[in-house]
Amino acid sequence: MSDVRFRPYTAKPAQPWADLAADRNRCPVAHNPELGAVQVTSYAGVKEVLRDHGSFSSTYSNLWPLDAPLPEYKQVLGAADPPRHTRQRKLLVRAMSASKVAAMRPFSEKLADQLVDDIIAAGTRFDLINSYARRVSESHVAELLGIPDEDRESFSHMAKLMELSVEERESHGFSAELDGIIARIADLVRRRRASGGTGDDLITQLCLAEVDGDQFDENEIAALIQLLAAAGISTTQQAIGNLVVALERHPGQRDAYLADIDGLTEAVVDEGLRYDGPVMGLWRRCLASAEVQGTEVRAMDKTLVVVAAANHDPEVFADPEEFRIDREDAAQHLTFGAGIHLCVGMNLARQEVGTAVAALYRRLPGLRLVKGADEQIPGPLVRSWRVIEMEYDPPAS
Amino acid sequence: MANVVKVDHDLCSGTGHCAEIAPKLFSMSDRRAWPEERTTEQAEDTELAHRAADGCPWFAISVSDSTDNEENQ
Ligand code: HEM
Repeated sequence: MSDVRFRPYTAKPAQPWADLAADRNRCPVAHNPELGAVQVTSYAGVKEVLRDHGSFSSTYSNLWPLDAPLPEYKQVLGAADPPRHTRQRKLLVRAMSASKVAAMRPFSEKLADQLVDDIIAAGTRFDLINSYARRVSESHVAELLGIPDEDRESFSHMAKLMELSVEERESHGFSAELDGIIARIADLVRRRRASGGTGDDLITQLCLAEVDGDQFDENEIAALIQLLAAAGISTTQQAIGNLVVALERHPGQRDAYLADIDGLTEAVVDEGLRYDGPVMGLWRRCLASAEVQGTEVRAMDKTLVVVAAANHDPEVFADPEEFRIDREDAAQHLTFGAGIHLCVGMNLARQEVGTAVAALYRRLPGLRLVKGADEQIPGPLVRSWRVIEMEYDPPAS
Repeated sequence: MANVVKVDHDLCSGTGHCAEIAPKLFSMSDRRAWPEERTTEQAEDTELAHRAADGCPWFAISVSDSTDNEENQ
């Protein structure tokens, strides 16, 4: 009988913080029998693993504890190690840098306004995830990548499959269907290349990118586009949901936010990501035996870094279990990861979440939670509420 | 040999990795990293500057030999 309390597959509580704190206090680098892996629960430990990409490989997938590395064409970005990873990431940084994303702000603001118009047109009760957060994140990814209208449905479906598959231990209930989607994206890549594409969207840039005069293999580009869409859609959607729930559960903090939405949105977004960000954990595979905070992790050990536990480590954040929008160090959270895989969508994600949450609170008076936010999607990877239903006061007429 | 350390502010997203790896070479302000000194004179600093450049998730740091006299964006 193990003393480890974190059991994300069989008994994932809505509020895991006490369990994670107990595990961290007992031993921040410990074997977890339910995971069949080493779990790392301290801030310093999580950061150490994420920075040590030489010992901790991502090629066994960062989403599932696979037994063998992914086939090479699927080793992209978050599932790749250097030098392959470096070559791929260099293709993205310019399109997703802080200054590029800032130029997209009018798009983000207009989109949020339109989506709130749609909520108002449909009545005073709405499903926060499906009627709002998902549409915010899908539209941003479509805009950034330049996904043709006729392919949007298939990207949306793909993101849903990815969401369902991270609930599973082994993944891969949907892998045949996901492979089919990569094949279809490879088709899109071929079409875009054949037409000589001139757009400044990311798909076109990736299709035409060259290294030493050679274009990338079309399957690699397809896998890269697939990963980019999958990484960008569910995470941001869940970040919006989790933040709104945190605000609703802390009326004092929400009221303080309402009093100065413009001035506080940035801080609110980061405290939301720290307090209850969408990423609960990330997988790595230890290739050569390594030390993490002085504890040995053996070669070939599966390793889960529990980002959510790191973000509640009292060594770094005072009163970590409190949601407080006036923290000065909230942005130190590890919700975007750390090191070479640090979320390349972080600038976009912050802008999406900020503009979406600001528009919601600015325009819907008396906004409140009516149902849901009580059950979590199982698995060690995400923090995500199954249902969030909200209501607001009808406009006086 | 002196080296010029530059931060491309179109890319820098203010993650602070460089200031953590090489606190004496970079400081953070206005949500961006800034090289503390225009040049690094000592071999030890040069190595540190290269480590910071390698550790930057946005590939925003360049370290070049000033004798190149090359405008590095
Ligand atoms: C609040 C929303 C988001 C969160 C919390 C988040 C979180 C993360 C984390 C933790 C990683 C590192 C994974 C690892 O180390 O294994 C990551 C990587 C990545 N994210 Fe995000 N992400 C978000 C939004 C986005 C968006 C909007 C996009 C793009 C449209 C995106 C694209 C990516 C990509 C491509 C990677 C892989 C980067 C690499 O390996 O170099 N993410 N994200």
